[in-house]
Amino acid sequence: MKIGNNVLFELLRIEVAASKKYYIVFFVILVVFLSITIAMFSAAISVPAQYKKDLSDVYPNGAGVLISTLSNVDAIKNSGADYVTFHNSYATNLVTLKNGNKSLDDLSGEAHIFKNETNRNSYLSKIERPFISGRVWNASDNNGHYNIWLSAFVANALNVTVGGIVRPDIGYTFELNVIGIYEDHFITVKESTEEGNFYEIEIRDNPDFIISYDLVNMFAQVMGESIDLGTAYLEVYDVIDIAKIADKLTKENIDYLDFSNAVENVRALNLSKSLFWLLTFLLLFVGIFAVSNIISMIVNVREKGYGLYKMLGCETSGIIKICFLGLLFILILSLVIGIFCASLIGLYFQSFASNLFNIEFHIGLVWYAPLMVFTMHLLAFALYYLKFKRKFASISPLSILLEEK
Amino acid sequence: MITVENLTKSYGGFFALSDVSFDVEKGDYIAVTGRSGSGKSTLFHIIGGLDRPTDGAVIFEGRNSINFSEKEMARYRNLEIGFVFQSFHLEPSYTVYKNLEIPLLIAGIDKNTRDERIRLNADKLGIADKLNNLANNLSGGEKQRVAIARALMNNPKVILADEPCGNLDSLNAEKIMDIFTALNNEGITVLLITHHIKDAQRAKKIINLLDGEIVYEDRK
Repeated sequence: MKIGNNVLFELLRIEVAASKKYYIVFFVILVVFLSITIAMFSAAISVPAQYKKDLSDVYPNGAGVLISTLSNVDAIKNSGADYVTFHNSYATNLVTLKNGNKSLDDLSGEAHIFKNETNRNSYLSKIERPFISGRVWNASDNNGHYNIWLSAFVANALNVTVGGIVRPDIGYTFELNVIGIYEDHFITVKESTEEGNFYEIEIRDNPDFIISYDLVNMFAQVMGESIDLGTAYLEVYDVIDIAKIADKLTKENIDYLDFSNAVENVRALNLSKSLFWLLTFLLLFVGIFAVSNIISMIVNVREKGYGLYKMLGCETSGIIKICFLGLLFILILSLVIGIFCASLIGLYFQSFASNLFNIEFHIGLVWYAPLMVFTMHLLAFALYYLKFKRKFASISPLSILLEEK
Repeated sequence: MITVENLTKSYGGFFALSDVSFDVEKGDYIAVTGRSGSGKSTLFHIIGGLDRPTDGAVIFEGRNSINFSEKEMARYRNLEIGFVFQSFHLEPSYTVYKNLEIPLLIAGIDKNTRDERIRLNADKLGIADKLNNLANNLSGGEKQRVAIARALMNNPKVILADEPCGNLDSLNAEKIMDIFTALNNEGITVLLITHHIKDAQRAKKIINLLDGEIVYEDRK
């Protein structure tokens, strides 16, 4: 007889009562797996998203600083960066700003920093270009603020104006105050010297950055090594991209020095994101495997019962309905409780992960995480149905009778 | 009512039933006897729609049940036949009420009618006070009464009882046999397998099987 819907619920109730302990085990295992999987899924999605949002809140201009010593200048230029070269020799503090294929010896478009007036006069006597003298500006206020000039192109890209601030890093404290934006390649720039004098020098070729000597020195001191300013460069990147650029430089055997711990943070973030996804799918498959085994167990244990139903006139389709509707009900109930548990796990895991990765984590429950996890389990259910359909059809009422004999 | 025609059941070269034929009239009480392995249970399984023969037919009210589809066979077992077995075959973790309810649920009977019928048959079989008990907690005699009550739920035309007293003491066995006699007196057709001559003699007709063949058939 085909089981009508009006009595299906009654039979379902009887059936669940008959195998109560197995359904309870099924329920508990489902709740555990669903809640952890949903929490992991949510973390995999929300952690990177939240981190990115945090970065853009704190650093609306989105800048990170990378400084590199280069053996291959062209490699960096080909990657789209302009470069700034510095000499760290105190005696010839040469800041060379280049754009295009000018050689280092080309003195046009340079900003010079001289140790003393004698050196300066000696240098200037060799060039024919006019220059303007002016007052020195302090490169640093010793509170982590450094002044820079930006080309209009870079300023537009970073969305900064004069008076704006470029913050290279999340954890690092220095800031680059934009004190000037230059439009064309003829510009005067002020240099700083120790003596407090300043010199204005004509700069050609639209440099992207003009960095004060103090800033360069600061870089060198922080990194604990001397920088070959002949081949060093400075780039400003979006923090999220820093890790990618760092990896690219490593692949090309180009050393880099990272002023910020943004690279490490972003690497940790990428790693954590990969770990979350890996854990999520691992848990999903383990959970599906566990559920499959429990369903097998329930079907095996209830085989006699199903044989009895058949003997009393129940069709195979009716038995399948009873069995799978019961399990589906448990799945839905487990999901509801699993969502609640996932939220609690997320809260706990948030502080644990923050301590582990030293990054502020905000793990919220992503709304579609339970939906996706449930859909995966539902798909698995469809597979179980196909697997067990034949088994149910083969259950013979005779089998229980012959067993007894 | 039922005509068994040339029924044969073979397993490889072994014949559990060999060309068995007999008639069952409405209101009949037939006892099928024979040694173990003579084919009695196989015969019942085929008549009851639990198994299919290798050859032959079981004509039930003009229709050959051998040709029934799964759906028709299930309906046949649910509505036309009531089974009673030696081992009772109750769901041990269900209450008596739930055990009795199963065939009614399968038949799609509404709740009020189910309740009415359960109480009526429970009363008839003397188990009305046991409805809330777990089937597992009943004595052998009580379990068999529940099994008989379950068999009667959908007002079947035929009761097939396969050694219903096999697991009972003589006192309970006697009571169960009295129940079958009473049911037959009410007009229900009873087919009974038994080893006991005394129980067989209550029937209106005795069929004796040996090695899958009818060796003796006698109507009182």
